[in-house]
Amino acid sequence: MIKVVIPQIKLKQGNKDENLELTIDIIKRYFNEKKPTLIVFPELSIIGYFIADAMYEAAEPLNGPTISRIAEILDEKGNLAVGIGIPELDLRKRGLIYNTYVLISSGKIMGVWRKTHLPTFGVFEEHRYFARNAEHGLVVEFHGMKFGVMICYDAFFPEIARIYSLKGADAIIVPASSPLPSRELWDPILRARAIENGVYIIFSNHVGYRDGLMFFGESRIIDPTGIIIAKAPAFEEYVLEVEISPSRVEFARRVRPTLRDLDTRVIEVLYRESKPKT
Amino acid sequence: MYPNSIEDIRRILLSINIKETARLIKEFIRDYFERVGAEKAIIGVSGGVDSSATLMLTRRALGKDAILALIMPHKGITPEEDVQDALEIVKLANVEYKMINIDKISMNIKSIIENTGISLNRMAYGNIIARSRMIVLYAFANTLRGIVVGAGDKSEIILGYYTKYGDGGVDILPIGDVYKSQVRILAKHVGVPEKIAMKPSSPRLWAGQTAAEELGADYTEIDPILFALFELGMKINDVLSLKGVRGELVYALLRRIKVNEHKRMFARIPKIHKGPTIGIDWKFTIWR
Repeated sequence: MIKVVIPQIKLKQGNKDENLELTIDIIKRYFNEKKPTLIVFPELSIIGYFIADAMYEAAEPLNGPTISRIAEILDEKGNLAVGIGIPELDLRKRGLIYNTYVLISSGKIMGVWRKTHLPTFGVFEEHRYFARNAEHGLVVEFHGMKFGVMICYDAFFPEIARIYSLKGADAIIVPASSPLPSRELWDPILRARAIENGVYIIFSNHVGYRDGLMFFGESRIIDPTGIIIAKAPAFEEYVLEVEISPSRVEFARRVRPTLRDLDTRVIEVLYRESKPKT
Repeated sequence: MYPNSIEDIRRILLSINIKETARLIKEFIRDYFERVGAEKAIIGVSGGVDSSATLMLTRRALGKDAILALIMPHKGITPEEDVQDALEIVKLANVEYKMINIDKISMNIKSIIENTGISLNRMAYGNIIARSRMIVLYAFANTLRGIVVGAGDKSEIILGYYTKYGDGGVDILPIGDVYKSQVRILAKHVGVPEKIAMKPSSPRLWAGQTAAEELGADYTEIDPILFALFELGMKINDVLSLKGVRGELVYALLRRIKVNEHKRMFARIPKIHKGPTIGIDWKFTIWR
């Protein structure tokens, strides 16, 4: 059993220092928690998601001040893991930045995920700033359960969730920055990903206005059978706490064994058909 | 069902979740007000539906003490009924208000300009009135650490049916994404009396001016066309084939939208440098 905490709090647009303090305040609340606890902040949590061209200034490397500070306060806390989002400055390829999510525990980085599908339509301009990631499938273990991460719009592409599930994920974290126009889409998308794979889906969204755009909240957890087991309210701050268990994954895959019944020949067709034909 | 008449679209347009819309607008006003550290919201109140709805929403968002309403009639142009309605709404909102006759200011400007030998046309003077009100609103805002809350709605902004740097010269536009027909419902929801909520629209830039006459139709006819184009993403040809649509009105509206595009932009600048140029590729948020 792992306790999942989703802090749906009003992070400040562009104010990294203040957001880091808000993040640490939340983490400290769980310092004395006996159960293994996973705290899931939303996408690009440290900058409050949308800051346009200030993104270049805000980007920092994985060994930068934000990750170091959180790793430091988690040093002695082996039963606590924290996921945060940062605009990540690439140390190898100078000048490139990524929309990155990092899981941290016991003073160390457990895993790093970079967003692949960068929405650049309507209100979104992510491809203006971020380089896209093409590697997938990192699954990390925390107190007996395995986790993958797909960042916001990545959840709209079922292949990503499938890769994590095939690699053994029990739960997929979906850190998001979802504004009002996308609100109706998340229930069907997230429940489908859960049912298709028999996995938990942990959806952590921002709440509050960024300029004129309302990020609606409604963070939620879908269990591996596709049921929404907890949902935070819209437009309000709320800290969601839910326990998840590997036995629910086993149960889901017994009553509807989608992963067992997956015919890999279909994936071969998908692969063949998705390649551009010249 | 795919809409095939103007009536179908009007139904969709009017089925807006008004409670949630009001809530989003209130949250927006509160968020902006707090983040800029303002102490007063300054609102020009005309006695029309837009400013009345904006006043009531701002009142609910910030409370009565944070608001100063200004009623700025122009003798000979503003109907007495509007002044009475404006008084009624500020009293209903129970906020502080001041009455400033705008005619002296505007007429002074006009006569100083006309002393050079030019004779201003009706439109030029109408815009002077709207801009005089903007000057007064900002004088209060600057002195009281305030922000100017504008009352433009989405129909007017899309059509560019407002005065650049006049009623368009404001800090925020809380109902700027709500169509006029929807504002009427929203207004009633936040306590604006029926008579004001349903009053025919007019910029009142000259005596007897009405929006319907100038735009060629009432907003009940205009809004479904705008809604079909911008919210439903219908192609112009599909809009033209809707039952009950007047083709010449669609073309007139499209022309208006195009020629007024400049009102929605920062003043155009020719790009010289590689770095970001304001209005072209300068992209920053208010907070960062």
